[in-house]
Amino acid sequence: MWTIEGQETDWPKLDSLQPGRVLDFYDEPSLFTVRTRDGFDLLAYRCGADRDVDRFLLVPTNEKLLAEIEHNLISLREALTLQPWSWLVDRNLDGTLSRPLAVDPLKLPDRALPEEGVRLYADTDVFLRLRMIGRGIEAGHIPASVVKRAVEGATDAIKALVRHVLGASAITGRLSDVARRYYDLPAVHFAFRSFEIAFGKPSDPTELMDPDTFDQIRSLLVKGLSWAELATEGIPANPTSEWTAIVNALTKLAPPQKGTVQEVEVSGVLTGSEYRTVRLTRHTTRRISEARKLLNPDTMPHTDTGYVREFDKDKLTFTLRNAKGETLRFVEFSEEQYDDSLVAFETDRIVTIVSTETVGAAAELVSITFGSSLAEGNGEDNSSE
Amino acid sequence: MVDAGNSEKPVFPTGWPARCPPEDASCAEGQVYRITKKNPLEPSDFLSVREENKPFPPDRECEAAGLSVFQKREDAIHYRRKFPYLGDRIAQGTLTEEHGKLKPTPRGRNSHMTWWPYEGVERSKLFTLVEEKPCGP
Repeated sequence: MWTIEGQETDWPKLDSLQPGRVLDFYDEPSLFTVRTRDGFDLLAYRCGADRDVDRFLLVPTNEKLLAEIEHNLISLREALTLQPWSWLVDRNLDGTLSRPLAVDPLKLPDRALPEEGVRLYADTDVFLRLRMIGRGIEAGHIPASVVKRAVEGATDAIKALVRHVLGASAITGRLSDVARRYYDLPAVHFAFRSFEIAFGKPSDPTELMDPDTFDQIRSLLVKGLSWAELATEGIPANPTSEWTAIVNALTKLAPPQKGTVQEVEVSGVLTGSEYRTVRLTRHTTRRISEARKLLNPDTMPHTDTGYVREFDKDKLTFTLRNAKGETLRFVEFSEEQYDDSLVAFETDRIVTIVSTETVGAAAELVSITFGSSLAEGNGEDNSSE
Repeated sequence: MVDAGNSEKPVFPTGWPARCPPEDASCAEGQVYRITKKNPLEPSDFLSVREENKPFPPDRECEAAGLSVFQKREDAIHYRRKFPYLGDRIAQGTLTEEHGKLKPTPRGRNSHMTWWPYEGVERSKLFTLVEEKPCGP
């Protein structure tokens, strides 16, 4: 069996590894609590075995930690490596225990710990979970940008897939109420050791998802994540239109090339299996970037300056015109951009917008910033192609 | 070796605790999965804690005589991820009533079952390897 550096200690004082509470079982109790002679509770995790010996990692525990494990709020690896020091004990065939060895659990061989991200039970109630990993992301020190990226990444990724499945028009206007069921999922859990957010089923039972639509969205994400797990391959030679949606979704999920977030773990039912965890790295981001160049070689953002006219509250669109009344751009915007767009319309202020082309008639609004008012400005057209 | 044509009634190994397997265990039937180490499969991949002469809690004597299997392959994979030391491989077997008794013993809502094989059943021969965990990062 593997060996590791550690220091033999006289504590914890254990006569046996008689299980108290059994959290998991494979042929025998494999994750369970034990109590020391002096009344302290430890969590025992069977981390190795050979013909003569079973090896256990012992970590301090309490009811809070046990509840977190049993409610799938924490991964097993995280639960076992929370403390800077833990102990290893070997149990012999006659039931006697070796002297405890104090070890740094993070220095255990990889195979002696659960895989990253795996929880006690399958994530059947979690549609999508994102865990952001990077230096500087730790309890008490979560940059707001990391939180923003996690929330927007998940929402925008699913939105990109919903747009493909339901059609571009489904995202805009009041029809978006139907589409929103699929991407505006309730956050059911946050964790702050790294930063993690889990999205579950819609909380309102009347907001039912069409199973076929859900399956189509999941199928696209599964395809994308399976491609992302490959080390080197590019997208298919003659990519179908779905690959644009898939790559756009992956763009939202994968970590940025620079910044705090270095890796993102994606799990949940939408990945195809409640057991699956896919790790997206910066290498994945580079592959996605290459794929985007192949899929959208001519797509450039447009920048236009003008005035918001013909504002449609139902379809969430507006028309941007110059001072001469010539149409510059027909734009669709999101609910999050509604307020700024409405202010621009109602106040006749000159604005500069950035938009990108979509498969529909309207360009998608990326940003809107205010310039000088109509009374002051010239209404110049600064559109760039 | 259990012979289907032999009229002799199959029995469980001697020394098991009374009422083991439990009365609510059913005749073995269907496809199951187990985590294994060896390729090709060896009898050691299918030994119970009792057969390995390893200690077990006194209130779990009957469970110690059985083997953990799963009805769903994904559940076996999940356990492999939780306990990597168990092995890198998944084996699939098809059990029938000649092979012993089976009882659902789920953890959470998974498909974990306990299989109590009859005496003489060549367990490793009932299974084939269906998955090997890829090595490397």
